[in-house]
Amino acid sequence: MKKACYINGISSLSPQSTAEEENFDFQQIQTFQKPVLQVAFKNYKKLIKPVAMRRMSKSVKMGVFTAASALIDAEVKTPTSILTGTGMGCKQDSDIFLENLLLQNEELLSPSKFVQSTHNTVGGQVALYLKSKAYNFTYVQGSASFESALLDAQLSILTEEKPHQILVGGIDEISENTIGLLQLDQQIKNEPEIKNLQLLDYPSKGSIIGEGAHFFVISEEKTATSYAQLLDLHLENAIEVEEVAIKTKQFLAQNQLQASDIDLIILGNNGDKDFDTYFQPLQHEFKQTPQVFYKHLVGESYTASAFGMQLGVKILKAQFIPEAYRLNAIQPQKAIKKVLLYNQFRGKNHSWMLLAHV
Amino acid sequence: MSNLRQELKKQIIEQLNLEDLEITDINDNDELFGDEIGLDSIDALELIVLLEKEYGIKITDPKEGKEVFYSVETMASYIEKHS
Repeated sequence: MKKACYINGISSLSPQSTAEEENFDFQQIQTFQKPVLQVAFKNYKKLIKPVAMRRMSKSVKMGVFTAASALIDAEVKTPTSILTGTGMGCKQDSDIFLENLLLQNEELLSPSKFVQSTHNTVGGQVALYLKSKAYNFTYVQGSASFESALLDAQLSILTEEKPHQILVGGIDEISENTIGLLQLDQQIKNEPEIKNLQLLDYPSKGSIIGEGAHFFVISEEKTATSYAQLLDLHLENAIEVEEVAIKTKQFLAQNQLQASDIDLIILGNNGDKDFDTYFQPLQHEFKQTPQVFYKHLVGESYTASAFGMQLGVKILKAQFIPEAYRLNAIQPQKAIKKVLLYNQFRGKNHSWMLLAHV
Repeated sequence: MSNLRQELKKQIIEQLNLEDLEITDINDNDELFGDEIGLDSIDALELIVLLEKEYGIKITDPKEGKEVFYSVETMASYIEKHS
């Protein structure tokens, strides 16, 4: 029998989290009037001891917390692999380390900041927290980082003859330096006030940026509380706008599906006038299908698609499309069984994910 | 309590991010790497950097470090002797 990938546990920290509660709520939408959306969550001590937290930067705390929380959600104690994807790694500690390097003429540098500044710090700290010596790999592939980690999880399950409980997630944090650089590069909108719920109405370059950590527990074993099934995943580094619809149809055909089989499409629109054109062919192709987007609520980041996947998984489980996430007004005419996600980042790293109800 | 010992406690708390500790929580003779304060090997590296950066004293012999960093008292005595 062909093996399948079931999503059995999830946890998310995003700008939609509150100071006390990690996972986003469909009914309680956080709104913003600024272009930089940060995670307000503070309650890390729920799962992490203060003594362990003292050396953790924000991304490490977010990563360890959501990894531990996803395992609890899946009722799994020990993962068989820990796979993390991050575009920028522990950016805040990297900045501090490099600033000290300059200030102190490359001498007498804090070892903690160096240790914490590497991209695989989150994966390492998750392993230390869980006392896990399992396969541990960090993917640093820009805006394909989370998808690359997810691909590793999918291939492991489909090709290895052993049971899996794979912890896979995407993490990115904002630092002051990142904001400055992205502003210079016009990746952040420069309007004096940005209302995030109207993000797609600003006809300008750039978007709003965000941060977060999103972990999943994936296994070939379906449980009574499984959220959804990951049917397939496809990545392409560079394609033209005209190819998006063709590639999407090819991806669906590989899974014996056509556009009419999709009950919901989740798109990565971020309001950037130069690159949202990539989503338009699918907005047109799937105009009779309910459409959802999410970056107006969590901001753009290299691993924002991990939030999109959590959104798809939660919609499949709840069979409900929250109003604030709607991209069109089409209502589902039947149960939501198949969800297609498409994302790209500034015209690169195009990804398609297919989720199914279980 | 001497100013040097007070200053060392403040520097240790700041450098090692011991957010839950106050200067008054550390006694001069408390074992820094034992149950009382609970520092670890990365903290030892931080203390070596602290000593060199703040007091211009280099620790090169690991055996010596073990004795020097036993407590705030031993650190202060070592600084007084070498500065």
